[in-house]
Order: sequence, then structure tokens, then C-alpha cells
Amino acid sequence: MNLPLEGLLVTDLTAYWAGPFCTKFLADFGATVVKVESPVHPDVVRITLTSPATHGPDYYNKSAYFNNYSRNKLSLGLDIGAPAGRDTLLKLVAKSDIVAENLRADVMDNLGLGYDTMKSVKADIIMLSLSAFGKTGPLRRFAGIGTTMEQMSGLASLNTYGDEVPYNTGIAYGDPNAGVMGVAAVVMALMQRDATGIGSFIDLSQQENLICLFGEQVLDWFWNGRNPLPQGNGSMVMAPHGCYPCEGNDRWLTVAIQTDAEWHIFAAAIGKPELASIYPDLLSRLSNTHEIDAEIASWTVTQDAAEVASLLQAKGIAASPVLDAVDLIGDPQMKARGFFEMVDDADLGRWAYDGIAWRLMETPGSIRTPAPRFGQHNDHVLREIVGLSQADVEDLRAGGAVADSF
Amino acid sequence: MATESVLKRFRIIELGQGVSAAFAGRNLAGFGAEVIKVEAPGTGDSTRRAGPYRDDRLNAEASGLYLYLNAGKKSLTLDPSTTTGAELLRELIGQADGVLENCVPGTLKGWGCDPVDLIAANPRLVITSVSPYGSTGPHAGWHATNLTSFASGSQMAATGDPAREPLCTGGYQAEYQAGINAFSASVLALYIASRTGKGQRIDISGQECMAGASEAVGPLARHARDRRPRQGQHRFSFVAINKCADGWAGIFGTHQQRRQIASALGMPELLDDPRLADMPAILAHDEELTPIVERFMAAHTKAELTEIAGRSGLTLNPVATIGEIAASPHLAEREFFETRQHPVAGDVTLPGRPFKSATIDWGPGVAPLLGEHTQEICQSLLGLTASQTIALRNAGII
Repeated sequence: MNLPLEGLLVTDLTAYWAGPFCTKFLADFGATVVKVESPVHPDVVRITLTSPATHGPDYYNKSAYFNNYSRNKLSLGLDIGAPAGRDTLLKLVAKSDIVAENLRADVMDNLGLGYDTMKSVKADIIMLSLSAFGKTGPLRRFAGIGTTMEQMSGLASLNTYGDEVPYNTGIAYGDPNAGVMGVAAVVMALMQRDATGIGSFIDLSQQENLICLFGEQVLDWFWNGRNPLPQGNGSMVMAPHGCYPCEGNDRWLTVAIQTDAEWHIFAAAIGKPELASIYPDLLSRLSNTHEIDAEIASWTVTQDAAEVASLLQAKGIAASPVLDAVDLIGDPQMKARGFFEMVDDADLGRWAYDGIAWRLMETPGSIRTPAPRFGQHNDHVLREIVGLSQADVEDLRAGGAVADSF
Repeated sequence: MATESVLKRFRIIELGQGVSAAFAGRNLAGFGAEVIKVEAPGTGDSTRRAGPYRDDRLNAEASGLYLYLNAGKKSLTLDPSTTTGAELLRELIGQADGVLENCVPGTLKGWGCDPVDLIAANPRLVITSVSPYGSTGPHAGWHATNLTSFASGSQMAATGDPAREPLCTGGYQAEYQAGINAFSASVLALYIASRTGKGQRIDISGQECMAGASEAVGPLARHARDRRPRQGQHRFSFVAINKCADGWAGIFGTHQQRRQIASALGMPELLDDPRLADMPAILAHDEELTPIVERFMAAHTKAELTEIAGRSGLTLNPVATIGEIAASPHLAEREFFETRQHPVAGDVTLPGRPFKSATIDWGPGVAPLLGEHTQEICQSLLGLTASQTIALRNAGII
């Protein structure tokens, strides 16, 4: 049972990030995930942010971004807009347990590939639709990208330096969280199928799922008719509470002081014990955050962020360096837990994929194969899974419905 | 279609404080699980003191963060650090399908509730432990708040103005991310247990969840040691957040959207403007193009920009305030927000189900009062008599 989802077949029509992030988990835990990729409208993530050093005719197999999230999946190059491609897709769906897509909410219906069609070829199919705004409502035809979701969910309005100027997050924050919730939705649908034999349609609006990550802020509006006060890196209940410059280029330390006792220890640790007498309690600290933060910064700026964090942690204080994605490779905690896994990637060489953050100790899942090249598994999927003859496959190829490259 | 809530047969014991485990528990309860939240006698969960409050009147029974995270749960007050309290907890867990906890790693073992023993006694049990750094490794016991936890996962380094300090994303996002991952991982393990009869431990590290969800930033760093500057509010002329007539709005376009840009801005001459020919040209002329975009955005309201987006096909997104989200006709038509009556807080309107499905029921309840279900649980699950319950209460154990 290392691979608890072994035996499940997923027709994966997702692209970009939210959907592929969801099906990554299904694949990591053993499901057979067939990524159906259009040669006409390729997954944008395949063709952006590829490394210039690796450009070439098959540059689309060389995106670290794509490959990291596509491990363990099979690739079928299929034009589902062509009649023969559509027929082939439905033959694959007929063998599948799950269909996943994250196109604009009306696109699958417009293609005649909505839930009713899927159900007509597989009665108990589980279909996951991860659209920007959901299948119903006035915004259902709006496409969404990562920044769209952050702005139109209200998250960006909470993301300020303490004034009203909004920022997006540095990642497309709605996407992975929609993907994670999508897994729970699919697994609950599997439980329902086990119990009753029925399939499910899941309408996951990324906007709604994102709002669920700050539900308490909404309540403030309904009760008090006000938008939440901007916080920045500060806090209304803790001080000091912030992000301070350290030695080096763009190096930073976060610190959160939760009690008066911690404040005394902290002031002594930074060699400024007098601060604890000048600002003895939380109210005086909250009223003088600018002065106190300046005092702290004048000390941290000559210090190494990681060393100070360790020193403060030893004294019982919450502190962390601001680690960037490169720092994480050498972070002692990430290394000790072995989060990153070296993978022999066919086109990118050996490099560290993200590991599996859900550490199910008895059924941990695994990274078994690197990301597929475009169309790498055309013959395998069409013959072994769909059950076509080699002659049928060659016909599809000759007609352009099946593609080995683009 | 009449179906039973899929998680209805599961009983989950929730231990700990704050947001991460509680958010996972909120979702389990919403989809039908019986979630028993164990709170400290007298004080209860820390989120009872976090607000927001109606009219800013402090009340531990009416804190918004608590009401949101704990809707549909039962509250049992119990002190597991006492011998008797720990015995009662073990008895309770023996009758459960899952434990969801975000205590400091090692806490359960300290109470005499070693996860290994709990599973030996109840093999179907799923124990989900959530913590900022995971339960092993040199930082397992590190102190953390939402801010310091967020800083550890690489998302903060990528967020904010490149000329300023990195910016922590609003709300409690480090904890919510750990929580949503703990929820989905728990559902997966409960599914496995329901098929095999075998439970297991799950170790969720907030740092790993955030590291593994960093879009292109993480893979590019790991593959090419590519250290990218924060992108800030203004990446370039056509990818930015700008002031509009009644707030803020985002624009997203590249040379591939020349046609849409020209149409949206009402400037057909931009279609053949060499400054928009390709990305290098757009970037080279940022100082000339940016004021054009700023003037356009400033001249229109959010509603007008939405209308222009629909007409031109250009991505123009108002930055919605929370008030605008609350009043959204789209969300109203989808009946996303749900209002329930709470005995102390009155009307409580909250985000509802995280996804819709006709076959997966969602049954939102209200959050419990502190210890509201203590008596019921002591008598029905723990088999205590009324006088035993009173004695335990007097001793401060429940």
C-alpha cells in the first residue's frame, strides 16, 4: 500500500498550475494520470520559463516549472478539437475513474465535453472542474489567471504594507490551494462512489476557495461594515512584529514578540536592554513601533539572519530568516527531512524536484518517473489503456488527431 | 439527490490551538464528520481572543476567527496534562477515527498519548500532526507565529516591493496553507483506512507545504539556482496594479495582447506601435508606456474596467475590497455566503462550502460555546455518571 491510489485512472485535461498541482498529488499517491495535451493549444507552462540554455526544437520538454509538477504522469498528445481526437478522448474517459479540467467554466460544455457527455460514456465518472469563478453565476464566462484570483477574491486588498496600496503575492496563490482542495473533493467523491455507486460532478471555484482562506475578514465586514485594517508585517496584538534587514544583499529576519517576558529577553539579546524599560508593556510598544523597529533594524543590519534566528530560538523567541527558494536547498530543516528529491530528468538532467508535502507515514507515495515528454506515452496509453490496435493508432497519427510533437 | 454526508461516519478529535488544525477540522465538520474540539478548561482556544468582534465588544464566545474555524464542531473542555485528563483523552481517541492536532511536536507523547500507542490500540486511527516545521528535524521545536512561519516557506521572499522588505501575505496564510493541506491529506488517509482498515500518522510541515507550492519560483531555483527579485506591484507597463477612479485595479497583458490592449485603451495606433512589438520592446519603453496605462486606469471605475475587459478581452481585474466581495452579485447567485444564528454572537455570515457538488453534502453548523458538549461527551462516550462529571469539573480537569 505504498501507492494507495494505485489502480485509479485519471483523464487529466488540466493545464497551467491549479489543475496540474491537484493531479500531481493523485499521481504521487499512485493513480495513473494521463495528461491529455493539445498540440494546438499546448499547456502554457510547458512553453514559458524554459531555460535559454536548453532551448531547441523540443524546448517544451525543458521547463523546470512544468516538469516539477508533472512527474509520475503519462502524456498523450491529442487534439480533442478534432472529431477523431474527441472520440478517442471519450474512449479514455470510458475507462477512467476521474476526469479533471481547469479551463474557463464554459469551455468544456461548449466543446460538447461537459459532465453529461462524460457520464454518458462512464456512468459513475467523477468530474472535477477547477474554474476561476465556478460553473454558475454572472462571472462564469470570465477567465482567470493567478493574479486575477488574488485581486477578485479580496486577498490583494489585505496584502499591503500597512497602507491601502495592494500587492499580489509572489506566486499565483489561488492555484495551489485550489489544487489541494480539489484532491479532497475527488477523494470524498471516491468515498461516495464506494458507498453508493454514484459518480460526482465537482464545481470548484478558485475565487470561493481562496475566500475560504480568510473567512474571518469577511465576518468583520458583515458585522461592522468595515474593511479590515491594513496590517503589513505588523500586528495588532504583538510588538515588535516585523521583518528586519540583515547583513548581505536582500537578507531579512522576521521576529514576533508575544509577551513582555520575551520582550525583555529580546532587548537584552540585541544588546539594547534599555528598550525594555522605555517601552515596558504591549501598549507602549504598539504605540512606538516605528522607533522600536528602527532600533532593532540598526542592530540586525550587521547580523547574519540565520545565525540570529538560531540565537533567538534558543531563547524561546519566534524568529525566522526570510528564506528564498534557493535558500531552501541548504536549509538545515529541509535537508534533515529530505524534502527535495533528486530526479533524473530526461531533458533537464539530474535535479531536485519538490518532494511530497503530505507525509502519510504508511502510504507515503513516491516520485517514480520524471515528467513526460510531450506525447511520450501515446502508444502506451492508446494501446494498453484505451485498447486500440496499432493500426488504429497509426490512423489517428496520420489524421493529425494524435501528435508526438508540436 | 439524497445522499448522506460522506464524512458522517468519522469521529475526529481535534487538539491544539489557533488556525492550522482548526481549519482542517472546519472542513471535516462541514462535510459531515463529528469533530470534537478539545479546549483548555476556563480559557478555551486562543482564537476565542483574536476577534473580530461585533461592535468591537470583546467576548470569548463571539470571536470571529473562532466562529469561522470551528463551525459545526463540538467543544469538550479537558486538560490532558493531568493524569485523569490524559486517561479520558485516550478513552475518547480509542473511539475515534482520527486525531487532528497542531500541538508543539512531542506534546501528545508527553501526555502519555504517544501516537504509536494510540494506533496500536485503535489500528484504524488516522493521526494528523500539523506544525510549522514538521515533527522531526533540528527546527521541529522552533517557536513560530504566522509571520515567522510564512517567512520560512519561500513565498514571503517572493512577495512585496523589491525596493522594500518582503511582505507577509494578509491574514493567517502560513497557517491556512498548513491547514488546507492537513485537511486534504487527512481525507486521503481516512479513505485509505476505510478501504484497508489501517490508519497511520501524517506529518504536515507548513514550511514544506509552502515550499512545494511556489509556482515557477521553486522549480527554477532548484534547477538553475535562479534567484529572482520580488515582482512588486509594477512588473512593467501592462502587468501592474494601478490606481483607478474608485480604488485599485490590475492589468495583465503582453505583446501577444496588443490587439486587446489597443481596443481596451481606445488607442488603435498601439496595434502597430513598435514599442509593443515584442517583450524586449515593451520593457525598453516602460517609462513611456506606464503613464499611458496609468492615465487609462485612473480615468475608469472598477465597474467600467470590468465592462471594458469583457468587451476587449484584456485582463483587467478590480482589486476587490472585502466589502465588495461581501456584496458580489456573483457570489450571491452562487449562495456562497451562509448565515447562521449563534446563541451569543447572533447573525454570523461566513464563507460556505469550498466547492459545490450535488453528491457531496455540506452541512454548516455553528461554533460551540466553550465546553458546550462536555457533559454529553462525558456521559455518552466516556461512560461517566453525572456525579463523576461534577467531580472532574470541580477538579478543573474538564
